[in-house]
Amino acid sequence: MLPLTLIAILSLGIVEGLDPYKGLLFSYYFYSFRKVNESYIVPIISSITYYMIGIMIAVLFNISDNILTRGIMFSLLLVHVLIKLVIAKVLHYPSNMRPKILNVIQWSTLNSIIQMNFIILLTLSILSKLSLILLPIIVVIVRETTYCLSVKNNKILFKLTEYNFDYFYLMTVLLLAIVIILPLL
Amino acid sequence: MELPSVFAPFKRDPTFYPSPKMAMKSPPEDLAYVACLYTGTGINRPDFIAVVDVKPESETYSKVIHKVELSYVNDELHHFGWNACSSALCPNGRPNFERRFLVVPGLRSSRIYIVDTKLNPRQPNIVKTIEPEEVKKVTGYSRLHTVHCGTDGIYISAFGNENGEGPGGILMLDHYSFEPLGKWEIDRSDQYLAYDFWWNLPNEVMVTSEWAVPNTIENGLRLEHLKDRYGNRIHFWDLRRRKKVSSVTLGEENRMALELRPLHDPTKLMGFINMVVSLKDLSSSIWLWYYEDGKWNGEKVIEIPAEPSEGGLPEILKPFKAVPPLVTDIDLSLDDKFLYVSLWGIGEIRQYDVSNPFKPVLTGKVRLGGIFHRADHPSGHKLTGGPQMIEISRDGKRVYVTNSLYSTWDNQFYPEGLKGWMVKLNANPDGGLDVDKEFFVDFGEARSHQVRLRGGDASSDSYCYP
Repeated sequence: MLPLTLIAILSLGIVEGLDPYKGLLFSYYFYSFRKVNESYIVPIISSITYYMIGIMIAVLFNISDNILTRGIMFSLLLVHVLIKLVIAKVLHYPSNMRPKILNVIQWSTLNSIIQMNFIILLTLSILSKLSLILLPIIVVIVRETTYCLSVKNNKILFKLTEYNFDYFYLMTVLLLAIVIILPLL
Repeated sequence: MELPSVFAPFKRDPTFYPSPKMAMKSPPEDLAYVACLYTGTGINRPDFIAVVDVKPESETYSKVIHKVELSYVNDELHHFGWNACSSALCPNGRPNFERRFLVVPGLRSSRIYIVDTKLNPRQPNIVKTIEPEEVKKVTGYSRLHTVHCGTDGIYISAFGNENGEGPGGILMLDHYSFEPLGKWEIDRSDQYLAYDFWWNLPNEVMVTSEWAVPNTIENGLRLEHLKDRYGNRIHFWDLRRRKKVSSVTLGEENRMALELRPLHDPTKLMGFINMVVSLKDLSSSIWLWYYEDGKWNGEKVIEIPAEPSEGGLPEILKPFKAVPPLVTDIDLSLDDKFLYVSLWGIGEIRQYDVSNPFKPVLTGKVRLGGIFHRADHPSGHKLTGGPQMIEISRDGKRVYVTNSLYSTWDNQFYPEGLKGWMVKLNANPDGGLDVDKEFFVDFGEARSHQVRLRGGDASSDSYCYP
């Protein structure tokens, strides 16, 4: 199971890290407004704040690994996919647009709540407690690397905006759902 | 295969660009949508959106290829806009928008039509109508004007309340269902008159301008109203808190602060506005508004004098023995380099180099109709009315012009009759302007107002990156 779990975490981390609407555009935005140093901090800040609530809930509830919890998380992931698929357009908080780090924190925290990101973290905590740290680290690395490349060539970021990453995200969540339910089959 | 509409599109709308610089490299437009009206012409037919072929290689180039006829008469089409635009690429934007629907309000009726251009861009169709009663009930506003696509909804300015008095303001529509959401303002302070609005999204600033309340303008211009019923201020708002933070009076003697053109580069907190008439000498002026040292300022950067004349004047101008320029529209190219100015009274379109916005330089002008020039199109077509609405292509090389201002005012200033036309000007990237002899659209008895280019134009999109 470990390879499958790693694949699920890795694919989730890569998709989340590459999604321009989850922090990359904010980095470029800061850069455009000549806040160069802050632009490199944004990938770290946006990732930490986005996952913080989920991590805290997962640690607080410390869900044990059994048939019931796996079944519940599997169902929740499917509901998460369905909701995201049908009403993703309303699961969004635009927040204040001034290029300030505080606004990024507010924006990513509130969107993390609205988009029920904690479901992913709760599921991951069943699979492996280590993944609660692993996922944000992968996201930060992917996001920071992509941003550094985008600074050199902004066509990379523009190319990324061509795709609605929500669909890639849904595929990775489905993969996670398979990983969590597979041992029960 | 087309995804069902409940799902968001998988790919970004290719007409969205993060910055105006990138938008300038977009492919040339192929279609123009033009607001055409019979209101005020004596013809009892519904207004329509004309689809004009603007692709030079096309067989139907320079022709009206389709008309989206509205459901009611006397809506008085005026301005309109897109449901979504490049603002969707703002860092807090959403990936699931596409530039698909034209949001078309009736200025006189307050009815809103939603026109779908995606399934067949050459033959768009009305997919939804929001009745005036609903708009008034939900928002308290009426007489709808400017439409802009924000990151969190569609914004529309309104001239007044349901009784035709003030205050005018801004209402919001839901981005997806187009249902009216309500009044936008929370704290308007002393703002009463309304007309145009735009914003600087990254700095969270909205700017609004002043014409007059509906009861003052709807039955025509009355000279005695000029003294105290027309506005001369612009208002600056905190876009997030929906609160007016400052107002600037643009000359005590000036009246009618109309079109707001902020610089497209969002790192620059400044823009232009046209003042239609001065009570002192009938001149028109362009003002630069800008933020400096913690406060908003306004500075006159262009003044265009009236032309003395005695012959051929309409009744309303006879006492003055002069033709006022009547600068009723301005438009700024996407690179913020050229400002185009329409002189609806005199009959000219001017091009100013505003590379230094504080010191514009006149770089080109053409004559089209007008009370003063009465110039015909180079192809020989007679041009009734004067050049009014201006729209610039994204690459800045083509400028489209139509000739109607507002039905009752058209009848006063051009009592001999005003028949709708649309012409194209070719703009030299280094400065200079000429009328395209091959392009002339005749709308017959209908009058023509705003032009929207498929894929976006210089006044349709807001950008978050320079």
